[in-house]
Amino acid sequence: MWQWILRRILISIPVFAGITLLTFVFVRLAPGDPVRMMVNPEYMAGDAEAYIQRVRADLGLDQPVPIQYVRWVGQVMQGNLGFSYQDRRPVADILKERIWPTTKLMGTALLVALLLGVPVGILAALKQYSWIDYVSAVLSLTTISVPSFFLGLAAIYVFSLRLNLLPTSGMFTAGAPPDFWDDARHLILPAGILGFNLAGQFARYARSSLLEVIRQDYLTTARAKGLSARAVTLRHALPNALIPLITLVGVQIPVLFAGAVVIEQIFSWPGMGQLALSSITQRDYPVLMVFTMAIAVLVLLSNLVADISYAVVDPRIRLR
Amino acid sequence: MSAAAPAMPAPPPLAVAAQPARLRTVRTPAGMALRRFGRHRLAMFGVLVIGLIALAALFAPLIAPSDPLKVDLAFFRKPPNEVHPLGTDSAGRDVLSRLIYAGQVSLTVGLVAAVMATSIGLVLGSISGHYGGWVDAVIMRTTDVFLAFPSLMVIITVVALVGPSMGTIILGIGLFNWPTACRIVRGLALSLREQDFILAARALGSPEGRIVARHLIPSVLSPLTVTATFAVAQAILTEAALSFLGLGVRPPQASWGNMLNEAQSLTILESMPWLWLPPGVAIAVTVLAINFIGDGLRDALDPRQRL
Repeated sequence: MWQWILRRILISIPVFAGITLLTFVFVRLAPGDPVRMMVNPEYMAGDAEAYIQRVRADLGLDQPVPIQYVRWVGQVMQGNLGFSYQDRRPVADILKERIWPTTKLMGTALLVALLLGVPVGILAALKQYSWIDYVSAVLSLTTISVPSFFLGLAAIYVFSLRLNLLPTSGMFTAGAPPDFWDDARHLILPAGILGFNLAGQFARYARSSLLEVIRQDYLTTARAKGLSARAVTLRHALPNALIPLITLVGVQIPVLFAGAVVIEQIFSWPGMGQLALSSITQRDYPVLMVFTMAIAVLVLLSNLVADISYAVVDPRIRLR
Repeated sequence: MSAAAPAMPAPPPLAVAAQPARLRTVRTPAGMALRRFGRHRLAMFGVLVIGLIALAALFAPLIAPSDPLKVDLAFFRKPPNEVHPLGTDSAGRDVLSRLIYAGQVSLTVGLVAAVMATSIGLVLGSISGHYGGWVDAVIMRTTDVFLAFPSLMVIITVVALVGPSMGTIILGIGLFNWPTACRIVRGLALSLREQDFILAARALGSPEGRIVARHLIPSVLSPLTVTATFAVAQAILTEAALSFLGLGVRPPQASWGNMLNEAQSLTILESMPWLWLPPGVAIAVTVLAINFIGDGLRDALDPRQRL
């Protein structure tokens, strides 16, 4: 088991290195000059070119791309993630501030999606072809189809502006002392909408997975030996039907993250999504690189955790 | 996933001679699929809605009440009235006209990007599944990397760095959304590889490339239409999200996403619903209709999968 986990981790290393190399090369080759974006236009009047050249040399941007990459890898290996071009702060510090809000948002959204989607999917499968099944099919397609930003605007309109129940943006009330309920009220709309968009996927998946299991022979056996319908469903069908959901959760993490980028923008949520957008538009290479690495680690890690928990739940996987 | 009532293929009528015309449409696999599709109520609704939206987009110059780009500051954010049925925006442009013209953008991006992504997936997937070995390994690992990364983030980066326009959006979506199709085609190709008609072609001395092009690809096309349909919906959502973030179609050209982007202030949200409600509803209805069609196609083309 441990050997298997170790092998999985070792396999992810070249994938990870490949992602950083590709991003690095692509970002450097793309048009747009970070130095010109950093320099205050007022200073550009006099001997601007010489100044720009000096800043470029300071940042190491005058070197060929391969040398820049090797230098960057060397620095990262020593634990130096570099400094942001935008506000000259260490990237590591910026990242530390941003990780928790995004994790909180995504974690809650995932929970909402599972709690909303899975029971609906199970119910739809148990009552196949009933009106419940029909309504849940239409509903789950709807959650996938309505864009989160429109839903976000509509929710702000209804819950914040009309009913005055929930705050429109931010993670807590500025200036107020830390308070759990205040935090929770700020979290409801962004996490709820992000989760809502994903719930349909989970419902569809839970439904088809359960329907597939229900047709298996061992369930006929369970019914034949006189178990109640309830016992058959709860003890024999559900556990096996829900195992594949673990993989689905792992696969959905990147999707969830992309959703968070949009949601953070609407609700001014101070997370990694907002940071990503600003670092892209400002050509803030150091932040952009570290950000890409963070996503890669997050994704590889969530896939790994999904695979391991899969192996724990389903012993057949380990044998391979 | 079944949405409509169970549509079992009709049992062959006993009185064959009595209804020859009907029998002919029922018996071919394509005819049966078409019949199942026609019975799928949600899919039919989707076809109707998309048909109307496509007609409106196609005949936009004839339908739109006024020029979608005409700025008239005298009509600054006016509520709906007789001249402007859905009011005017912050530059005094007619919202209904912009909405109709934006449909052209959404449908074009959706169709072209989806066809591009699906074609790339089709080619790579059939090579991967048919040849196997190291070719397969390389293609599948690449697919894994692409799937592991949040494609919206990658597309945002590419579009922002290269410069936002309709062309870059289409390229971005097309070049990064192919892995889903690739995986599906590979799976189908793996199972087809051992089938008799492929073996027969090989026994007749047909070169492998010709087998892929002439036998493999045609057989995977019909299940692939389902993937392609969902890809259209996905591409439309992506374009809308990009334009909403200000990284997509550039104003003054109208897109449903950038119309919502311009409505992002609390004042507009609170008191000028005609600026944000119509484009949002337009995106949702279009994407939902396409997803209904995709669901119907899946039920119709693969009766076994009607789970």
